[in-house]
Amino acid sequence: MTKEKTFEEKIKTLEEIVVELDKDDVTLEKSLELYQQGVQLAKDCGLILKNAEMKVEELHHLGEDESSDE
Amino acid sequence: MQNDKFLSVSVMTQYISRKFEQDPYMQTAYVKGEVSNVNHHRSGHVYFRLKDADAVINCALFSRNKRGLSFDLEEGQSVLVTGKIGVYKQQGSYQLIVTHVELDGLGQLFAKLEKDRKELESNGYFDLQHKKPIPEYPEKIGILTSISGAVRGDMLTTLERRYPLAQATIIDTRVQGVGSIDSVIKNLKYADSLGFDVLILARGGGSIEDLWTFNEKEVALQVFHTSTPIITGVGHEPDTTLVDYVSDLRAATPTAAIERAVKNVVDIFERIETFKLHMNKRMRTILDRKHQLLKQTTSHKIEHPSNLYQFQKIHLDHLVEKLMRSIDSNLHDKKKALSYVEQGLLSLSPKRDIRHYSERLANLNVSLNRQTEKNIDSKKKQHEHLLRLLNSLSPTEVLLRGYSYTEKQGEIIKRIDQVEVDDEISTTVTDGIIRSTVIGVNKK
Repeated sequence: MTKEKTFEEKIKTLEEIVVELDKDDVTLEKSLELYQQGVQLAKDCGLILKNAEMKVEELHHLGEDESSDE
Repeated sequence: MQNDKFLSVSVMTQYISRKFEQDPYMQTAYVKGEVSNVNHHRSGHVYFRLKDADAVINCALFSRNKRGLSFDLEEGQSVLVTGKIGVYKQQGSYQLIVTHVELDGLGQLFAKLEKDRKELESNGYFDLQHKKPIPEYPEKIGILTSISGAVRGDMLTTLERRYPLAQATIIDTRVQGVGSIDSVIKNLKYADSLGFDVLILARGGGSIEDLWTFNEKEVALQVFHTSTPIITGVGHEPDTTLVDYVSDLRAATPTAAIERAVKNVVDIFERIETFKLHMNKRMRTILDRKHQLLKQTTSHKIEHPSNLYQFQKIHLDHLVEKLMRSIDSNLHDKKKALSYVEQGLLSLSPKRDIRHYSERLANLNVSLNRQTEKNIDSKKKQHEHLLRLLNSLSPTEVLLRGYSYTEKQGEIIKRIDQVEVDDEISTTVTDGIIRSTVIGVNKK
């Protein structure tokens, strides 16, 4: 099973892509590849956050208290 | 006699003094109170007053007793004083001769805290190099705090609101009172082994005594040795406990600790949006630029293919020209050199000599001829002269003039001795010879 990248890794990669894309000597092919990757990552990251928010909302509606470790 | 029952002041004072000395509670007195009117005397002794709400005792701390003191006496300190009550005769007062002072309760705690803080600081425990970076987007957060109380709820709510991505685990920890030191240390070790991205050690506000666990050196050392990045949020804004100095990040309160641990999801959304905008803009720029580049390249090189070699052509022309120039100049040089040689050679040629000599020869011939002719002429003239001379001398000539010569046997007679009587002689005259015989010889 290939390990899915964590949110942190994704957003870090996105940052790196932006930096890479900003370089003056980037080729057209590379820039397209980076752009595609970047847009996909931005979408992924947004989705992860949205999902997490929704889940929290859900849990709040379900009721009180669910914590761990006594 | 009446006078006898009166004691002098000195005697009375001595009596009182003796009473004091006989009383064990006064000889070794334990008194607690608040320090006031501190007077550090030049001599090194310290005079102060110990007071409570209703009473005051004068105290004297002699310099020799000051050595054991771990703090400076200051106004308002609550202290525990050990000493001896004595009479100060000259002033008619009594005073506490202090042999030992220590801070009472909290005072003592603060003194110890200050000592521990200084020790840890001087050993480098607070140095920035030990501060581990807090991950920007933690996924698993371990929170060490008490499960009871509002703090836990506040923290979880803040976390969910700010950053719902993270999964928080509360590790119930005794944060005050008996057993709290062990509980914090034990749970820190436990949490450190669970692989959290970040730990938060938190406790809500309370009295300074309530927060004291976080001022304990053992607790601070454990915080220091925790390998997971750790944020401390103990008490309220102004409280700074010992653990705050050794943790990787100090937050003022438990909720502030959450805020420092995670970014706000709103900010992250905004950030992602910014990234997207930036990438779009950048991509457009790149495309524009590539387009421009294509256009430039096309217009220059493809549409005018001659541009591809124009420069080379010019270059070639230059080279050819240069080559020609160089050949010309080379040739010219050679020619010049040759002409020099020729001139030199010419100057050495015998032709000139030959001409010179032939001219000279001709001249000589001419002069020779002239000279010879001259000579011949001269010789001719001389000859003629000689001939004339000869002619004039010739015997025939002489004979013509009447002279003659006589020979005897072909020999011309010049002297008388040549002839004798009877010799036949011949005398030549101009037109014949006379034959004769000598008839006499007469010598003169």
